[in-house]
Amino acid sequence: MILIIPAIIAGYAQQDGWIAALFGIPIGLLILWLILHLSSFYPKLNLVQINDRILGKWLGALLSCAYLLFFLLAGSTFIREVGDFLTTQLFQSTPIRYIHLLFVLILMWGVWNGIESIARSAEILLPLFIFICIALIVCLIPQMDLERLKPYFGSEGLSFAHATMMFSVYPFGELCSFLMIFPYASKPAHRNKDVLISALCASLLLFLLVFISLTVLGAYFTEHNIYSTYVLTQKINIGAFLQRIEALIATAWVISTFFKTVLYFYAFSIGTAQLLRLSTFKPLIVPTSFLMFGLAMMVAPNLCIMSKRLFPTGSTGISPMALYFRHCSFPSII
Amino acid sequence: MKRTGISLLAAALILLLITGCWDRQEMNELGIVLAMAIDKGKNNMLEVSCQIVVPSEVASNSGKSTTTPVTLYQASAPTILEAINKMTLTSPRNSYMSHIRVLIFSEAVARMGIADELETFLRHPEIRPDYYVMIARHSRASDILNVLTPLETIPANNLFLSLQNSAKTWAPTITTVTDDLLEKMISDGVEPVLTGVQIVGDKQNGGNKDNLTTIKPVANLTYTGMAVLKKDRLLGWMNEQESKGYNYITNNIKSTTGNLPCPDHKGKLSIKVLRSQTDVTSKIVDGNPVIHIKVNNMSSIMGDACTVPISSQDDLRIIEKEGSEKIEMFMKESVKTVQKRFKSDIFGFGLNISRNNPKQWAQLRDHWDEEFPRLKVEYEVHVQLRGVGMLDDSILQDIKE
Repeated sequence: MILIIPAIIAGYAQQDGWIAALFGIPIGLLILWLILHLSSFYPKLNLVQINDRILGKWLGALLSCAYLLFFLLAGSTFIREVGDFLTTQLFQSTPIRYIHLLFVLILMWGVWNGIESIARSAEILLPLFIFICIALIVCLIPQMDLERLKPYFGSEGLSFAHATMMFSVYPFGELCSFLMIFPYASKPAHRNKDVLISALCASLLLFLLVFISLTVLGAYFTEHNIYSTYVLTQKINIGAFLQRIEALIATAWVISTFFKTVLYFYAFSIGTAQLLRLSTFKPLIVPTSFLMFGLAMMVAPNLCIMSKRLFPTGSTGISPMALYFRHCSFPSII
Repeated sequence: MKRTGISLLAAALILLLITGCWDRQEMNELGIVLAMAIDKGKNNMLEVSCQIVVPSEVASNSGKSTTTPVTLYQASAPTILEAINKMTLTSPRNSYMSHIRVLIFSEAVARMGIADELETFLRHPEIRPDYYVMIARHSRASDILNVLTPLETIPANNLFLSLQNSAKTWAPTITTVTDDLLEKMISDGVEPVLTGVQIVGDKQNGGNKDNLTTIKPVANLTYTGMAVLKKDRLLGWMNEQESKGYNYITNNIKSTTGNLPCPDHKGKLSIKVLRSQTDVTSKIVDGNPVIHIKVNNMSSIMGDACTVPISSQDDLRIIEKEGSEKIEMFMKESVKTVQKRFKSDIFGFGLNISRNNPKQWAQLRDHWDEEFPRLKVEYEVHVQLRGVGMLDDSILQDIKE
């Protein structure tokens, strides 16, 4: 997410991407509030059970299947993103399957140990992640050129709206995987507030990345560099000694993507277990990892098609897969 | 006990997986490329030359050396990357391009267009976009890499640092990195410029180690003039004054030194520019775009060969006015030459209009090439003299009397 969102937003709104991001934050928070509100009706049930309760056995199962498919496909896509990124930028002659394998093994290990271990390791790695992101932003301040943002509101209305929608639906809609873990988390009174505040902080970070990318690289290269945040770190050069620190952002991104993927992995396996009325989800972990490993190779033939199919820009139209992704991320079941 | 055993086994197995041997790159198997030159070869091929560092020569404690600190490998192929890999026919090491500092195009290649070569450089994951791009004048690009330099033993570093410093302290030079260059090629209403580099002295023997055995090297490298491009093609060159004007207009002056006549026009003052800030604005007057350039310049007198005192306010005002007129003249010359000879909007006036008057730009955009040569430009220069150095009135008054 932190690596590719500037490219997606700039693809629609060009130099207005940062405004679109600002507009997207409140809408996104509204979506998240919907998700939280939904779970507060049924504090003891997860998404699959809620579907079952509201829509009945068959219809509920159908919708649950759609969501589970989304978790599976999105999880595989994240794995592929990691693999593509690492083989493009850092390990050029390493087979991509090998990186996928390593990633899937760690995912498997994480899910096997359960949600608590995942959360605790996130607590350990979060400060590192935040430190890297702040370092990136601070180091790039000298290179910012606000002139690049002009003319304000110069993009077309429709594509601007599209960018706003992308910024609200894509990062926030993905949080629907939280519905699968809420019933298993402890429930302090201010949980909803905490979740909203942390989502706000995270989206502000994304906004900052879009903003910095546009002011340092300009709209054109933000749009056309697949990994614009990575290219940003290559531009860092302070006093000719603080430079070439791009491996840091790669680390930060792999950390954040790992936790996202592990949530989806967990959501898929536990949801499937519930759908099939299994008593435990542990037997599903190994098959799920096989599935994700295979699907990661199959989601798209190459990087270019992946970014075009998942995030079609303007003229390429909306392909079925993107539609599917967007609709699934949207909690349409209130 | 059993659990510990399994954990240890798992840890050992994972060790096997994370060695990362696919992408190992041993330092002593890499030929580190520091500079690259691209010439036109035979049969529409590109002749690529790589300046590769000789590690044993640059190591600090190797004693008296017998070979040169860098070596040059060349290959011809239809594309750059092919040529680079083809170099292994002669070079024992693979070219490693992460540390490239300068990229030199020959004039012939630059006149045909350099966008496809630059695209390769930006797409290649091994290359960071922080090297300087330049064009060789009066010689082949590979000849530039064939000159040994004193002070900085590696010629590529010499080129890089020299350009970096002169861009800071001498008005007519500019540094250009690939992504800025490509951005200017792509954007509407702005065209790129590049700096020129040439050999002064004996082109044949510059690569000989003897070049460094004399106090004054027989051959040396120097930057000269600015190349005007249109999209990715070289059109021609600006002279030093015009380059200076370009840098004033585009707010590229960090500091520089110039001269001004004394208030009574006998003798000269050396002026050091401490700070200079240029603001370009565009407005529409009667449907036509007008560019307004405002320069705020803060300078200091560093040498005074005048026979009249400079300590009065009135005299300082006169000098300031002279200075303003001179900077205005630089900018006017530059704009005039570019509008007449090149018709290429290197100053980014069109970009400025598109950013500040997007509606008018929509109408101008398609025929900007015809519009630019007759564009009206207004100038407003304020020079402010701050310091006068360590003396008051010139001591020359007392010597000459």
